Amino acid sequence: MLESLINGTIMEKGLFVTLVGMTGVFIVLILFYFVIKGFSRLFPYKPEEDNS
Amino acid sequence: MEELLAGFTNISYLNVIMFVIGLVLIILAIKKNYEPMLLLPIGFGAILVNLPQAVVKYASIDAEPNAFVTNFVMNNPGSQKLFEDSFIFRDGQAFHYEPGFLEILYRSGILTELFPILIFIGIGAMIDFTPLFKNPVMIFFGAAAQFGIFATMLVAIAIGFDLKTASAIGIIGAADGPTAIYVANQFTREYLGPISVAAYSYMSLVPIIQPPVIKLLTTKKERLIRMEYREEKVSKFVLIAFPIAVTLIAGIVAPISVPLVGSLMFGNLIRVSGVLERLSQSAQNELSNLVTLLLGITIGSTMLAENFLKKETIIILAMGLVAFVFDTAGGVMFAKLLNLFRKKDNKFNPMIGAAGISAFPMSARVIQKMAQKEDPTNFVLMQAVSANVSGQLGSIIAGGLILALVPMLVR
Repeated sequence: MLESLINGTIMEKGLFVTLVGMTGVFIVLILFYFVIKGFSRLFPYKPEEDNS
Repeated sequence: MEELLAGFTNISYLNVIMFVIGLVLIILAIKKNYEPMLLLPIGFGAILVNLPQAVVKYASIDAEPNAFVTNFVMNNPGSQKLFEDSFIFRDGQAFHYEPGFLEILYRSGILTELFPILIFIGIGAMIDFTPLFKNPVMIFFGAAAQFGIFATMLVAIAIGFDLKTASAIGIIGAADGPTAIYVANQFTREYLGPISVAAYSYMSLVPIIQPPVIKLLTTKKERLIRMEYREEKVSKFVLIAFPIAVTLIAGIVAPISVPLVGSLMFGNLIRVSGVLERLSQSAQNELSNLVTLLLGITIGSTMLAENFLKKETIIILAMGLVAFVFDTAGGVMFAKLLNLFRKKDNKFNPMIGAAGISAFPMSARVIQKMAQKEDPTNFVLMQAVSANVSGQLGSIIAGGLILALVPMLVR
């Protein structure tokens, strides 16, 4: 598939970069979302932190 | 005698046009307060480099051409780039030159990508991710608002730019100066000046660009939507673990983005660690200020008349506007899309989507101002800030993915 894209038009390459790029940004930020959710659930704020 | 008058005899109308452009940038910085920390040094750098003989770029140029290099380039068309670090080409002849101070800064700070990376350490130390931890769902707007990067790249391709140049133009839509410089430097050094100027100029114009686009895409009823905000405290462990986790994830998914993400997160780790207050303050102030100062004037030094005064420059400046419009539209439309699946009393104010761009904190302020204009009792600032810091992450990841994808397709 990559070979055919390399030989494709610039617009085809641009559309590929757009599709994979936007998907990639969403995937990475979704991972960050789960990192935040996971950390917040596993390590919630404890009031005693204010005293340390 | 001829040498004494060199300043007068070597000046052309193109230099004069560049002086005017430099002055306009300085006036915009001082009078209108448009990104003064960058537009003023860029404007002054543009004037410096267009002075006769461009001494700041070429400290000295040999009077006689170098016969060997001239003949080599004549017999090997396309080899000129190999010699441009030491030779300037005039009428097909190669003259050896010693670099001036701005050329030295350009080579050591821009070509090595050191300046954008150092700036990111400073930005990382300035960013507080706490609002995002309280509203993690806002992170998706930081992704959606990167739409402008890719849409603008497609428009640039349709106009006739090659893929690398179109990608570098699209990255203006990252609304993130250092990322724009980083990508442009790798893909199209020729247009580094216009791309940087466009990135910083439009960032300062966010309060003018975003409101009409948002109004066009939303109804008054949508702009009046109130969003619940819960004041929750975040544990110190989460604050410290987040920059480390982000660096690891980015490093695995998009390794090429590590210099940008890693430096941003390093700065943030210094901030949240709680034990490096002096370093955090230095990164936020001294480091940021010093590098910004050098970055601006060095970018200005790329604006030589013969490189800058082209029709492509005007197109690139126009494309910057397109990028910011698409960014805003992408964020707003994504919020509206999500609202289709959310309960009636839990909908997003779609204006928040527009804050997903990286222009921090300007975009969040614009959204809050617009929300309060519609309803003075509606406070969406914290949600907008959450989306805005997500935009910082989204823009860097988008930049990293472009840096990884485009070279794969251009061989």
